[in-house]
Amino acid sequence: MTPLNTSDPALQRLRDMLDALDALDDRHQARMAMLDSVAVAEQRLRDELHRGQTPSDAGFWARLRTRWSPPPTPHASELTERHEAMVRAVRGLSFHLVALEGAVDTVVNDKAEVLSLAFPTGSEPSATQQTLTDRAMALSDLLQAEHEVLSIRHEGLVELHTAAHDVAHALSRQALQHHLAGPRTVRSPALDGVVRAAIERAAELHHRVDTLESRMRQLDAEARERRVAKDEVEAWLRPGTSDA
Amino acid sequence: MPDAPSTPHIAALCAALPALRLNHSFPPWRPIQAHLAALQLPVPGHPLIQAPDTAWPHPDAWLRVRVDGALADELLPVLRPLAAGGDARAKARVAYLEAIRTVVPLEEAVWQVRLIGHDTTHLRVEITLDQHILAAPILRRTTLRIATVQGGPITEQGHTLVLDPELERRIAEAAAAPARGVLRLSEWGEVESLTVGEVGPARNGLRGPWLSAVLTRVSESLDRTWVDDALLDSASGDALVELPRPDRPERLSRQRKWAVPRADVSAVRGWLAQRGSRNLHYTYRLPRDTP
Repeated sequence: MTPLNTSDPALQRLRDMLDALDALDDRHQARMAMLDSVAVAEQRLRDELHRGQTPSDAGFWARLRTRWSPPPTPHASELTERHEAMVRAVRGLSFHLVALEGAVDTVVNDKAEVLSLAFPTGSEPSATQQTLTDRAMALSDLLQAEHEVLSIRHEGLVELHTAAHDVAHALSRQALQHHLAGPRTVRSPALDGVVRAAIERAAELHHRVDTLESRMRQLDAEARERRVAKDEVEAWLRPGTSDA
Repeated sequence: MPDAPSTPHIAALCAALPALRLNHSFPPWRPIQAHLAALQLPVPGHPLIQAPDTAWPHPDAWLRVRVDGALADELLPVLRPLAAGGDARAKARVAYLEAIRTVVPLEEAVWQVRLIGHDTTHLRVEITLDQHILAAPILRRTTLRIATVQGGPITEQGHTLVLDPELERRIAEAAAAPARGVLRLSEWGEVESLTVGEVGPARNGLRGPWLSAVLTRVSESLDRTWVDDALLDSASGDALVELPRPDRPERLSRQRKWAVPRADVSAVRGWLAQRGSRNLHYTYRLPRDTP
C-alpha cells in the first residue's frame, strides 16, 4: 500500500482531467434538469390543448384520437380564461425553447471539449487512467446522444409551439369577437373551424414529440451509469486512500 | 400592419390617464397606469404593436404583462445559468423577467359588495365589479345599486355579503349591454341604477394619443335617454347601443370624454363637431420626448 504523492505532476494532470470531466458531467446534469422543466412546460401546453377531455383506459391510438379530437368550442363565459391559460402555456414553452436552444449550443461546446481533453500518461496508476479514459469516451458518446435528442426535441417543440400559437391566436379572435359584440354574439363557424384546425395540427406534432420520450429515458439511464463511474474514480483519488 | 407604438407613446397614454378625471364609477386608474407603464419594458422577440385602428396597445401586449409576471419565478432558474454562461438571448430574457416580476398586473375581476341600507325585509346594496379583460382589452367598473329581499340572492356570512353565483354572472353580463342587463337583474330585486365606466380606447391624434373613457348609466332617475359617444357612428349609434325598451321606466345615458395633448385641442374640437358630438375633452401635457 503506497500513499499517493500529491505533488506528482502526472497525478495533478489526472486530477485536472477529473475536474474537467466532473464539470462536463455537471453541465450535462443541469441540461437534464432543464429538460425536465421543458417537459413540464410542454405538458402544461398539452393539457391546455385538450382541456375538457377526460382520460380513458383505451389503447394508445384510441387515447390519442380521443385526446386530440376537436373539443367543443368553449362557452363564451370561459373564452377569456381559456385564452389567457393558452397564452400562458405558449409563452412558458417559448421561454423554455430559448433555454433549449442555449442547451444545444452548450452541448456542442462540451462535445468539442471532451474530445480535446489531454489524456494523462506516465506513472499514474493504470486502473485510474483506464477508468478516466473509459469515462471520457462514455461521456463523449453520451454528449453525442444528448445533442441529437436535444436537437430533435427542439425541432418537434418548435412545431408544436407554432401550432399552439395558432390556437392561442384563434382563441384571441374568439374572445375579442365575443367582447366586442357583447351578449348578442353569434357563434362563428369560421372561427370555430380555425380553432379546430389549429388543434388538429397540434395533435399530429404531439405524436411526433411523443416518440422521443423513450429515447430520453434511455439517456437518463446512461447518465446514471456515468455517475457510477465518476464515484469509482473519486474513491481512487480521495485523500488518505491508497493505490492498490 | 398597425404601427409600432414607441415607448414615448405609452408614456403619453400614462400621462393622459389622470387627465381624464375618472371618478368612482370607473376602475381605479393608478393600477391601469402601472400596467401600461410595464408595456414600456422591451420584450425580447415581441415588438409592441397597437390594436388595429386605435392608439391602444394590442390585447396581446396587455396580456403579456400578467402572463409573463406569473411565469417569471418558474423561468428565471432555467434561464439564469445560461445567461451566466454568456448566452445573449437568455441574458435579455432574464433582464426582462426580473423587471416584469416586480409589476403588479391588473387583476381579471375584483368584486366589492357594500351594504347601504336595510330593514326587516330588504337589503340595499351597492355592488362593484372591476373587470380587466385583457384579451379585448376591456377595463371597466360596473356598479349596481339594488334592493333585494332578505335571504334572497345576497346573504350575510359574518361581516361579508355573499352574492349568488347566478347574480354575479348576470352582473358581469350586464356590463356589456346595460339596458338589457337591468331588465334581467330586475328579476332579482329593485334596481336603482346600473353604471358602467370603461377606460379606453385611444385614437391617434396629431401630436399624441387621444385617450377616452365612457360612462353608461341606466336608471329610472334619469330624465331622458341620451347617447353622445363620438366613437359610435352618429347615423347608427342608437343601433350599436341597446336602449331601454319603450315600455320600461329606465332611461339610459352614455357619454364619452377625452384626454388630448394641449396642442391638439382645436383638432379634437373639429373632429367632435364633425361627428356631431359634444363630448367633454380635457388636456394633458405630453412627456418631453414624445414625438
